[in-house]
Amino acid sequence: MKKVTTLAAKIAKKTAENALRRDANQTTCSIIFQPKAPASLNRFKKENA
Amino acid sequence: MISSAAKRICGFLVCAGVVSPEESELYEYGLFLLISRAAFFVLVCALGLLCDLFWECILFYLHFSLLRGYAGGVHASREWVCLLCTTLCFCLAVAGMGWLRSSGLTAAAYGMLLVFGPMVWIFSPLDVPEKPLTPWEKRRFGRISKGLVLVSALIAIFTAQLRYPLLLWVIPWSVALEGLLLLAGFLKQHRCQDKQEIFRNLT
Repeated sequence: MKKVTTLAAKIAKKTAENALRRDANQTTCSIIFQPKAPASLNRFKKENA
Repeated sequence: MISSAAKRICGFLVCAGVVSPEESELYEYGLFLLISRAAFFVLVCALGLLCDLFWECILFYLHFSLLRGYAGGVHASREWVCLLCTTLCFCLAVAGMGWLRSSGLTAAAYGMLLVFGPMVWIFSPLDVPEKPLTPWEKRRFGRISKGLVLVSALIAIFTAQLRYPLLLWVIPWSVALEGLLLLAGFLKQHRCQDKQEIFRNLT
């Protein structure tokens, strides 16, 4: 059970990272609300690569 | 709603030990993006199934989210306003696509591209204080959004000429919606700047 939970958490984390990588290299998110982007989002930017 | 779901899932990730507490803000933001995209994709699919416009809605969602991602535009100040406005916008677009398809008015589709395409061209990219762009990013995202509008409009017109008008029912609505959101965002930014100017002059 714990293995399944950890695996689900890792998949969720990876999927969130993909979303962050995509968002860091775009102007804004696709819905009509933009939460404040955390400063640590900069590490996903291509400009800083 | 979505932000509270993202917060809860992030709490689960921190408890599971895959995310550190210092990184929780970042991953909460990422989860918000993920959940919001998924939720509106499901909404658009549901609308498509209801209105017998399933593939049109899928194409619309893909094109609009790509264009909006690079072009930017107005944002609501509160999450519930956003959810409401985004839902209304998508419903309007689906209704519009249905009307275009049933009426077969290709001239209306061309007119929409002619009116709203330049709007996207002029105003994009439009960033927000919550996520400001660097000069490099403004140039890059501006080129991408302009290229996207031009290429997708040309493909829609070309395929319509080949008697496959599916894209011609979809792309104009995506461009029109984004054009209006950009115009609204531009006016909102300038209205805020004017108010600050007036306040500064008074004091």
